[in-house]
Amino acid sequence: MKLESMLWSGVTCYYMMLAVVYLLVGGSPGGVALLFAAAALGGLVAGWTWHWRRSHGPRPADRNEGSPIDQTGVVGVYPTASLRPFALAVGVTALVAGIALGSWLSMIGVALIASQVLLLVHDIDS
Amino acid sequence: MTAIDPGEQLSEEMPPILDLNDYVGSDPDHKHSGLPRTVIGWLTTTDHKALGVAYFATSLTFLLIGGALAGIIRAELAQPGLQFVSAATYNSVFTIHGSVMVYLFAVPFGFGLANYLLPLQIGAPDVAFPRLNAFSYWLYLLGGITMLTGFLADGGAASFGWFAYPPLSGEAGSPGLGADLWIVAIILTGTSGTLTAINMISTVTMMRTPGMTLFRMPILVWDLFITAFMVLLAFPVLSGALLMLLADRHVGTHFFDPLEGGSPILFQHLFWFFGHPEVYIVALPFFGVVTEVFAVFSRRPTFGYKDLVFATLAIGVLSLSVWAHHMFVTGEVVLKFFALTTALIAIPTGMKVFNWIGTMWGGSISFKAPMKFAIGFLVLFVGGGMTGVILASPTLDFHLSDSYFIVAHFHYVMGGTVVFALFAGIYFWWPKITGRFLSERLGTIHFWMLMVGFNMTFFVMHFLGREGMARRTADYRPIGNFEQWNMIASAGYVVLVASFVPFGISVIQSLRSKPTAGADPWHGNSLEWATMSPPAEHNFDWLPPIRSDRPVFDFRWANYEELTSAGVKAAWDARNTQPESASADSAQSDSSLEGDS
Repeated sequence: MKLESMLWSGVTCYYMMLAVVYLLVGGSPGGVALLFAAAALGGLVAGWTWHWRRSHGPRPADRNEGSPIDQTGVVGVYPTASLRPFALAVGVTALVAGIALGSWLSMIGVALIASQVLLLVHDIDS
Repeated sequence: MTAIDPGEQLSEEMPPILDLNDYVGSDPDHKHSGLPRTVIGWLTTTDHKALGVAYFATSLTFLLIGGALAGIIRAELAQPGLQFVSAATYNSVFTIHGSVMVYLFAVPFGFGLANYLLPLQIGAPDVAFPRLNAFSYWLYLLGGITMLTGFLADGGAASFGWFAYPPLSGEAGSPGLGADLWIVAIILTGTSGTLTAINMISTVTMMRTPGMTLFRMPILVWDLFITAFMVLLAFPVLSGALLMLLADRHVGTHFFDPLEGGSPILFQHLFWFFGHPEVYIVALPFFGVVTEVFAVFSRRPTFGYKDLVFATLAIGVLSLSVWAHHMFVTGEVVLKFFALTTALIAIPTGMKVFNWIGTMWGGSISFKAPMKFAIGFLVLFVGGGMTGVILASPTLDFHLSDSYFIVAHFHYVMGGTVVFALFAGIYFWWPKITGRFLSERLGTIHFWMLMVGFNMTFFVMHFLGREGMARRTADYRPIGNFEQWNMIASAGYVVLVASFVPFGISVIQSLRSKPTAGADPWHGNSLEWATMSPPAEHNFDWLPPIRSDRPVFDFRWANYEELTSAGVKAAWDARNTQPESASADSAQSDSSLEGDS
């Protein structure tokens, strides 16, 4: 995770520096804000990767001599096939389209989203 | 480990090249497709390969729709005067053509590559968040359908161009429902892209198989990873800007209304902060595709692997600092700053071209269909890149802005390069996805027709633009060479469309044939070739050791002692025979699911 941390820290520093330069050359407030936001978003990921590295240490994927068979047992638990992602997408589409087509559609969208999120949480619990 | 010099392979004392098919297993009945077989299966799948294929099929369908709209444009412009559609309809047609091609075809095809290939190339059983991945796909599809339903709305589809500048896109400029549906569609597809980016960054960061360090990842994975990072920074800005626009239209806000203290220029800043990275968001995955193809069909390692990675990183970060070069003519931007950053981006881009040529240089080049299309990509990309350098100069940009020169430049960098690299990828990975080959003979015909048709259509637009023909106009005066150039462009479109016929025939022939490709038909380099074709349900039953960015090449040519030791064999067998509890968990899933290994 060390390289990932350095990568995202570099992104953060670059945009921070660029935002300052753009501010100094008289750049638009919108552009300055966007560049600072880019730096902040990069910093968010950089912070997480640094934190993860400190708390977990090196991983098999980071070792040059690591072998795939080192990763024995169940590597990950994957969700079963589910209609929830589709239903959730229908709900989100209805929610946003409702802004243009009428609040009734947004309400249907909210109901769909709420039900699907609850079901997804229930899936995780079970 | 004992490496074998390829030049010595004929020596009887040397061990033979290892055959991947002996290690990856096979499906002797050829019944395994790796894809759901029912409608419910498709609606509920969370398998990255099935979703990848869904992205491919959907984005190619949108390519056909966008291409058909381009046909209306070229038919109308073949001669001066209005022959087929009204000026208002023409505006809707070019708006939806551009929007479909950019938002619904080019970017999502890259997401298809990320879905299908990225987990395979890093040795992972799936992406990090499979349900989020399925949600992203459905959001994209529903967004696309929403955009096209605009044609059914009163007043027709959106007609303000693919970048929707206010005040034209405001309530007064575009009062119809079609405009609203367009905005909703882009918010949905933008959100879909953002979620896909989160998924891909998480997958690359957390799910690489042991030994797959960052600097052993295939270049395609690097390109997809950096693309995801650009999407993460750029797409939310677009979605936010369009939500503000929607609020201006329906909630009574005045973000972009100059009469009430708002700023249309702010929208342009927000849009192009997304819009310029978008060019590279489209292009980078295809850069990765041709990098793979050049290396495999030149029988050479990628020239300057780390240089290519750093060039891609440089493109990624620079692309988010050049946005206002699209706004030179507004007179509201710092010209020197953006001219400089725009010129700078030519350096890493040029490095890539240099590395691609370096990869081929001295190689044993095989001109199979994927290689032909990759070289076609290179020719068009260099052509489009050169006109990009011209447009980076504010003085030239003032003259050429909003002319057909821009249309030509844009179609070379965003159209030709994407389509040629896309077909390079399709011909290259088709055997992996289907287990079958596409016809080489039809591939060659396809390539030459596409090359001729594309250049006939778009090259002459440089001259049209230089002579002053404005873009986004349904009619033009018969002055200068306008008529001749437009007629050539329209004839080129016919050739371009016809080039899809041999491809279609080849696809049908291939799907009717027996799967004979095997695991590694091209003698590839990366891990997707270390599994059966189509890949196993959970991708891999076995993986070779990863000691470089070409693990499959290393495996074929090297005699790894650890491969044949009894201990390693027993470990893989144990891993592939899961305990009862794990089997019970995975048994809940349908046939398309899920990594339990």
